[in-house]
Amino acid sequence: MNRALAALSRNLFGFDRPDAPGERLFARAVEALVVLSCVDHVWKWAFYIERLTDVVLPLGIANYVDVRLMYGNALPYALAAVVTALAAAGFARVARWPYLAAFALLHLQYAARDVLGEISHSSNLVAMGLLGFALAAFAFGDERARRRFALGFLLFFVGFGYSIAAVCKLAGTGITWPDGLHLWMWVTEKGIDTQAQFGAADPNFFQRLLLSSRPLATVFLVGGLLTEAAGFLVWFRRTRTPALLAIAGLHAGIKVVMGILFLHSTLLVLLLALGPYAAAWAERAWARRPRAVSGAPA
Amino acid sequence: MIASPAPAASSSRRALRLLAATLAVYALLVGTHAGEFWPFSIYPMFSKAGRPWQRTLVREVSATPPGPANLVSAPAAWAPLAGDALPGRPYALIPRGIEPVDLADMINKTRRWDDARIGTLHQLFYDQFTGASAGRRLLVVRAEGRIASGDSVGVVYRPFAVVTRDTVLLRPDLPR
Repeated sequence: MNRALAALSRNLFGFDRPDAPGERLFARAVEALVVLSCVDHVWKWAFYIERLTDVVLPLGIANYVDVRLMYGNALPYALAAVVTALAAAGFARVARWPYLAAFALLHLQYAARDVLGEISHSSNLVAMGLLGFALAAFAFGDERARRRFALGFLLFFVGFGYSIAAVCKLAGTGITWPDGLHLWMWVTEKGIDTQAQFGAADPNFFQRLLLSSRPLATVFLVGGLLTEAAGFLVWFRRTRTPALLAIAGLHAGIKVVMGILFLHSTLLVLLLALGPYAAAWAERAWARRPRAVSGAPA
Repeated sequence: MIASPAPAASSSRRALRLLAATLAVYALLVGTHAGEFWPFSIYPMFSKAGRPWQRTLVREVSATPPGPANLVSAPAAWAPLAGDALPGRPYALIPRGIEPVDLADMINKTRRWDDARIGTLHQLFYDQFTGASAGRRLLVVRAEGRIASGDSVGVVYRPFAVVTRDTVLLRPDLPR
């Protein structure tokens, strides 16, 4: 195997590493978050589909299947219930196929929900996580290899997604992308969205600060672009935690300044960053817990 | 597929092959579907900086003059407005289960307002006119932003449609 690929594999999957303390706990926590996020999405989409009658912009499978068959009936709710059951079955390791089936049905629900022109990316990361666990169930026999593949797969696509987003920005606008004036445009745009969402929008302290200084707004965008571009550093163990924390910080900044929060993705990134440490700590604490001495008087 | 424990090198090869296959499918699907085939994406959001934008907000308006009850008979009433001159009062969409971004994108990406598309707009508000709210009138306003002179951001507001329980009145200059 090519040395670079071998190094990438070691960093992402680490099949040759012994189990670290808390690794199983960490992997199950990531899997649980992925599964619960997908279930949350599939039900929210089911409820929203009630508002839909037509397809303005077909996405994914909606280019080939008339998703209007999901409108005006209980099919979205039935599909959400099936995805929930499949996700639970996958988590319980009932069989190898439930996660893959859940992934396919989730795609159908997404394609029926996002038809009005908006292309939401709030669910992409958790769905990539589900795909990772689905593929792992088919490709690997033992549980340890499965979880290492699934986590490595997810980490790869976290890094890939953010880095490719930075490439898109440079390709779409060029080197002037981080001009602070552009941030002013987006803050104003999102202010309108906030008005539409909640009936009012008062700029917060950070928004006022950035709107008062174009150079400061430029620095903010430069920081965001560099953080995205460095996304691929998630692939490497040594740089993983700082890169993930920087991405979580990026999402916090986007929330404060633009009012956009990808809750599930941000939680997943935070869990990937801090989970290994928390799980190792929990396992050590569990090992040190006081135990009852056998034969001691009651 | 193999279903037994495997040594590290073999697992590593299999994992990399699976990753490469996923990447190939990813590239194929986003390459043939304008960059989006959920959950595969090139994540193009905010990639085109500085371009004019359009968003949408909703106002609850009165049916009596000078409210938008006059919109049908007085096309001039559809003229652009300043933000502080919008009629009626704000109508918050999120507490009422409507996603404003959907409304904005649906309006922006519709090229021809035929009956089906008008029905789609009406259906988004289908549960807003029940009980005591049956007489409610909602004015959909499109906000258009662009970089103005002096390196600032300018926004104009154009009344777009009035939605009631039974009708949708669109601005008269939209392509049908």
